[in-house]
Amino acid sequence: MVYEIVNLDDYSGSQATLYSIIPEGETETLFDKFVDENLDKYREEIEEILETLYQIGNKRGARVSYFKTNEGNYGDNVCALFDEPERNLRLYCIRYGMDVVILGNGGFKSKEIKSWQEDEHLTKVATEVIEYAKDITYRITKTHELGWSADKTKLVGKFKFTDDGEVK
Amino acid sequence: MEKSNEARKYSSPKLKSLLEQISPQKREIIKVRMQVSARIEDLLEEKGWTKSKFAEKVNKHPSEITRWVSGTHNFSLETLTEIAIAFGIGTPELFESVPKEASVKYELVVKYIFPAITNDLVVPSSFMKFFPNWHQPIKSIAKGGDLKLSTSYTYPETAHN
Repeated sequence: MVYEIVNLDDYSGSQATLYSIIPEGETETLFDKFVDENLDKYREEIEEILETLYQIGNKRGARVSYFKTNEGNYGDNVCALFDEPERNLRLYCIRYGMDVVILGNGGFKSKEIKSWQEDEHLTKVATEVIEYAKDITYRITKTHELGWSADKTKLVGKFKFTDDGEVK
Repeated sequence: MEKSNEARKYSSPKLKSLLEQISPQKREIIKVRMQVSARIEDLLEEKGWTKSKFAEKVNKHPSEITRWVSGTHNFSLETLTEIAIAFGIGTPELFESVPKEASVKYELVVKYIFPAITNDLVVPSSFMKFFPNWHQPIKSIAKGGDLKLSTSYTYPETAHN
């Protein structure tokens, strides 16, 4: 996969580092895309999500209770930002403990469905995040292009991937 | 391989501007409810209660507790009072930021075959560093048995305000 992981400077802080992904051929992150696609219709919720992420980065850290876990495959750390049943939006991310979150894309989640597999758009964006999680895990555990800072609060290493990797 | 490179810092003018446009009132509400939810979660951990056990105490479904600690729930004063009573604290205490303390306990067990008859044990300085109170239980081993030494350290985390 060809992509770059970037540090979301306006949201990262002393409590957690927030990243997102710029896919090949794009100039904006997956998270920018999520905000762009949903801002007009769900501005209130977008504002809540933005402030929640700011609080995670700067005040509270990425507590597991702020997320819905196990949205992807076993052990891939794919989750969604917690949303109450009356909310409309779902944001997928990859969470590594209290300190690191990689924000992906998301979208409208109908009250009629229980899981992302039941919606075409959510299937597309969730699958995309799962694929990135798989590739990132491979680059952390197999190729060691990515690793952890000494204090384990940041990712360090290579962030721009121009090859297809060899994800098994 | 030494890894020191950090990710490129990325700032989207739109995301930055959106954050700045959120009303101070809304920002404060989100900040406080995340703070309260973190406090509830910490109290659960402190008490050693599972969400299910706590749910029983406040007569709610466990999924309700999951919402309470999710940082997204707007609490009513009635609910906060109910939660505080269940924890045995005053309601205002739910709004306090208590630095979380992580404690590490070291324990060393010295097996004595014969009863120790003297306090004049030679203790290396490195041992003293970790077990400054080693001399306290020495009398208990004068009668024979194991000498169990332990010490704890607490590391207050940065207070979240």
